[in-house]
Amino acid sequence: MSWLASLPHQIPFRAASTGRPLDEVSIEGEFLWTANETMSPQTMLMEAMAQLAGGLVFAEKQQGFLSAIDACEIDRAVEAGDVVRITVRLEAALGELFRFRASAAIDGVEVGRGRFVLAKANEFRTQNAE
Amino acid sequence: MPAMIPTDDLKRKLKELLIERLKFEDMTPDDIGDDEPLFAGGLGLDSIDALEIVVMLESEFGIKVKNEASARENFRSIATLADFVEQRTRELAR
Repeated sequence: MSWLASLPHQIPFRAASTGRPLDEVSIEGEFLWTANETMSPQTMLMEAMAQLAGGLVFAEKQQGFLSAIDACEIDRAVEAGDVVRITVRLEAALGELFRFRASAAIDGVEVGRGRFVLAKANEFRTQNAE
Repeated sequence: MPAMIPTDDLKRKLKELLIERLKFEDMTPDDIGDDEPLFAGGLGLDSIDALEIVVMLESEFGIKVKNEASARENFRSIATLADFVEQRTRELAR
């Protein structure tokens, strides 16, 4: 199973279209936007960045979640037909928290950037579990 | 490689960096006590802020924090953080 297929997100929430780890601390991938999409492309671009970050640090079947977003900027609207190339780099890890810096480019021009924190989930407990 | 900074100057620099990086508006270095706890019960930092300190130590001083136990021990206050930076800077200079 590829890391992309192991994501819990199903379409239309699977924002990242491709992902290729470059080394232990960086990954690149793509976000494709079509005329059929109904959600905010800017929001989904940020989601794609976070999904790629998860693909970098979480093994198959390991659960994690997005726990913080900071300093996100989108310089121009993402339009139907745009192919956004994303690079994500792991900046720091501490315990079960991971911080990333991500950048997005269209046709080689940077159009967005942001920082994300993902948390590894050991187990999920429900209110009535005990 | 960062040069050794006198301890009091280092403590002030760490306070300034925390205020800047954690966006503590309306706070000055004089508002943070050297021995005041940075996390629960003190300045109120959280685990996301601890990650920012990890990034800050690497970018400002070239110091890598190896694990969570080290962070727990050394991120307790400005004084312990300054001791940690001094110790690791000496090690890096060898």
